[in-house]
Parts: sequence; C-alpha cells; structure tokens
Amino acid sequence: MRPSPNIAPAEPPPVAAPTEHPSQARWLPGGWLAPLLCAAVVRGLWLMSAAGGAFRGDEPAYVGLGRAWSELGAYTGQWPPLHPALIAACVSVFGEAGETAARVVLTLLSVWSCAWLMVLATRAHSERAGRLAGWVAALYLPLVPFAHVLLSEGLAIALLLPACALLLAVAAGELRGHRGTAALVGAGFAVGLACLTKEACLFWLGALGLWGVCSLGRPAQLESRRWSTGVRRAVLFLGAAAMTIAPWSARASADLGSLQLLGRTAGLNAYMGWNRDYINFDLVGLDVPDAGAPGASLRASLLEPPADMEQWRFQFLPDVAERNRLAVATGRAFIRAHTGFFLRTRAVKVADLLTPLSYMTRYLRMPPPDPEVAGVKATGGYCSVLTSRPFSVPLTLVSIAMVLALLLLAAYGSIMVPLSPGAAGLVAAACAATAPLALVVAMSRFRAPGEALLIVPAAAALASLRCPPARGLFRRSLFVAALGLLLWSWTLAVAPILASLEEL
Amino acid sequence: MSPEDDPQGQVAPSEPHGEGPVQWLLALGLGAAAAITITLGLSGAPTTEELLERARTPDDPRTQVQAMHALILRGYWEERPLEELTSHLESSSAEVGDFVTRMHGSLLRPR
Repeated sequence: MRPSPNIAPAEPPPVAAPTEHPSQARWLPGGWLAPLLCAAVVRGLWLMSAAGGAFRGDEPAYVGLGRAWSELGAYTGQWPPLHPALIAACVSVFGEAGETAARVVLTLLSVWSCAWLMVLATRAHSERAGRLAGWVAALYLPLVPFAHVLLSEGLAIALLLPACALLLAVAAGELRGHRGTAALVGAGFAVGLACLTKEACLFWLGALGLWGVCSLGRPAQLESRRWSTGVRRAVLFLGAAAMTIAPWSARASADLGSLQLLGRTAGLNAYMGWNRDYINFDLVGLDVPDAGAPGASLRASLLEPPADMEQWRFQFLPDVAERNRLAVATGRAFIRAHTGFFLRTRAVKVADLLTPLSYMTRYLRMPPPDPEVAGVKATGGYCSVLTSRPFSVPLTLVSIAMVLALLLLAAYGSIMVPLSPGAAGLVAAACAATAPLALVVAMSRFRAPGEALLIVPAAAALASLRCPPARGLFRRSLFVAALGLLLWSWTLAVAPILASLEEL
Repeated sequence: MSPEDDPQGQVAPSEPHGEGPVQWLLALGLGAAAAITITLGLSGAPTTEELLERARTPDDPRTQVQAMHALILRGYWEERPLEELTSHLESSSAEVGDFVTRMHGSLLRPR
C-alpha cells in the first residue's frame, strides 16, 4: 500500500512486547479471516436457537415499537429511536419475518464489531494482539446474546467501536489533516448514533470528550502535548455528535413541550436505582439466599432497606416530563435522608457491574417461551437444546469463567502492559463511561459496550504473557487495587451465581 | 521540541497548515447548528390545542398518531373522561385507534 502524505510516521513500538511495528499494521491484515469466520459460525449457531423465539425483558417492547413504527408510520416510544428504527426497517422489508431479519442484522453487526476490536487491538498493541482479540471476541459467550436478542446493546457496540478506532488513529497521529478532521467528525457521528440507540451512551460521549482533550493533542510521541489542539479536536468530535443527536432532541422536546435530550426514562431509572427496593435484571426470577454462601450475608446486610422506604414511593404522574422531574426530586431527597444506605447499596451495584453473571447465563436458565400463553410467559430464554441441562450447565460455567478471565486479563493488559499512546486512556474512558451506571440500576447488560472494549487490553495481555510486566510503583499499586475491586465484587456475586446454577 | 531535545535529529511533525482554523470553524458550526435545531424544536412545540387539531388532521394518519402520542406523553387523556377519548378515537383514523389500543391500552379501561 502506498503511504498517504496525510499519514504521519507512527511511534516506536511499545516497550514490553510487540515485535511488530504499529506503523506496519494494516486495517485488514492477513490472518483475520479465520477469527471472523469463527465469530460468524458461533453467532450463527446461537441465532438458530433464537430464531422464532421471544426473549424476556425489553425485547418485546422494542419489537412492539418497531412493528408499530412500520405499520403506523410514526415512532411512539420513550426510548431513543435508532434500535426501534432498525426493527421497523426490517419489518417493512421482510414483513412477518422482520424480527428474524433484525436478528440476522444484529448477528452481522456483531461480526463487524469483532473486526473493529481486531483493529483496535492492533492499533493499541500489535498485530498478534489484533488476531488474539479476534479469537477472544469470536468465542466470548457473555456478549453473544447481543448478537441476536433484540436489545439495543449490539447496535450501540457496533457504533462505539469504530468511533474508538478512529479516535485512536487520530491520537496516534496516523490520520492527519483533512483525513484527521473527517475521522473526528465520523467518530462524533458514530457516537451520536450510539446515543440515539442507547441513552447511557451519553456517558461515552462525555468520557471520550475528556479523553480527547487529554489524548488528541499529542499526535505522536515526538511531539509534546498541546492542550489547545486536544481541546479543539475534542470540541469538533463533540460538535459532530451533538449535531447527530439534535434533530431527535428537537422532536422529543416538541412532543413534550420541555427540553428532552434523548429518551424519557431517566426519571424511572432514577426511581428504580435510588428509592425503590433493590433491582437487578440479571437476577430476575432468582431467589438469592441471604446466608449459606460466601458473601451472602454481607450482601444482604448491605441491601437492607431503611424502615421508611414505603414513604419514598412517588406517584406516577401522567405527564412524562413532570413525572421525571418528580422522580428525580424524590430520589435526591431520599439520598439526602439516607446517605449511608445510598453509599452501601452502590457498593453492591459496582459489584453488579463486575459480576461474572451475564445475559448469556440469564437466558440459559430461563425456560423457553410458551407461545400458547399471553403475557410474560410468552417470553423466555433459548428455545432449543441449549436449555437442556447437559448443555446449559457447562455453557453457564464457561460463560462465568470467561467473564472472570476477561476482567483479570483486561486489568493486567491495561495497567501492566505498555499500550500505544491513548489506548490505555481509551480503556479508562470506557470504564468511566460504564461506572456511572452503578449510580442507578446496575447489571451485566449495561456494561456490554465497555466489556467489549476490554477485549482489547485482554488481547494485549495475552500477546505479552511471555514478556515482563511494566515496572513502577504506581502501576503495581493500581493493578493491586483493581484486583481488590474484582475480588470484592466476586465475593458478593457468589450467592447470585449459586442461585443461578440451581435454576438450571 | 527543538532538535536538541531529539537525539536522533528528527523534527516533530507539525499540524498541516490551516487545520486548526478549519477544525474550529467546523466544530463551532456543528455546535451552533445543534443548538439552533434543538431551540427551534423547543420553541416550536405545539400547544395542547394545536395537538388536538393535528390529531384530527384528515387523510394524514401519521400526523394524527404523532399528535396523539404527544398528547398522551403530556398526560392529556388521563385527565379527561374516558368518553371524551372514545369519542375522539371514533372521529380519528383507524391507525390512531390501533395505536392507542396497542401501545396505551390502559387508557381505554374504565377509570
């Protein structure tokens, strides 16, 4: 490939491991086909178990919104519109088979996401890490449900990962001039679309904007950091995202007669996360024991509600804007009155974000949907041999082990393995974008975009296993702190895991 | 960075000429366009009376459904007698009735 005049010489390789020079990395190097094919086969097999089914949770609501949009010509939901738009488009084109078509699109998008993880890992570390990231992404079961269950996470991941890759290329100085400008606008457009898919992606917008201020002003190792350049590029990225979101915000604001940025469910989320009984949809239908398992009594004591919980319920006003305002105001007053309860329950919610459980384990333990009945029993888990014990037990155990391994490797890779400029910051931005979810409702589903990005440092760790770790007291202290956080979280997760296994 | 700082004598790559002003202009233009779009949407928000009128727009079921959706979000029908809603639905298109039945069936229950 002839080098472009807009592509600057890249920095020397990171210290500890990579034998390949990042500047030699191509966007689609050889050896990538096998992991991508593997990803397609794995997702295809699971897709066959999902086709014709109906998954419990938000999927029926998304499908209803998509079908209504296709048939009535107008979007009438309270969530951001992009994921329902995808379903509506599939229903418009394929009719009754629209849901299955949407599952196929999500499957293809999941393979697309695997490819972008390979790009990111190559950029962040080495081609070997890129190939390993492909294999890890292909075989990592906890994220596979988002490749066919009609939830918004799969689409959000497919938009966020290329945005991260573009930003990383600009940070590394590989895209400069007009190409750099186009990359920043493209990244902002993609993250804007992700926000139109899932409201929580606003945290990604903020975190990536901050990361941009720090990282985009240092385009190569040879150049010292220029804050003004970083600010300018971050503002361009944020401006493109804002312009992508703005038409929907205008429409939502016009509907309600008051300023609405994206969705209209913030009040309900605040209520569920602050002044209502503990809720975690990973554990729906499970009877988690209060004692008899390591960490069970600690978990139960942390979640012990205050005696006056009932008086903090709030009335569901018919006006959505007023309802949101009241919900948030009631929740804030509750937090002021019960600060201790709020803080100790956040400790559990952080653990919920880092739980080894996942939507894979959730759907493996759920009974298949019963099409003969109406209501919640018409939805469930996989409707195939996967829910029989010979399959569901080992698959659940493997899924749990995969989360444990990914989080450990990602902690090691992002802290103890030298990554290319900006890459470690990108992982930190992903964590910063995920952590605020512990302030409301925390569960494995909400961490999915950040979890996908963690495959990058995990692959870097795998690629560097034979190399000595980076030195320095700060790095080692940070790594020990990360291990402590994981250990704490997993102690609190033992009781839910045992309850989950008993359900199989 | 001066050549003294760089033992290999390499010169730091500088930004292409004109990149800064172009990016600032683009960033501020996009930000301003976003702000104007949202402001226009907010300032042009229809009143309840206008929404009721739109909900009866003949031969435009899409506008009717959108207006009905906005009325429901504003809590309009929950504060009205059921008879008023049913009479409104009778004078609206089939799509509006379909929409309310499918998405807001609880509104049609006696209250």
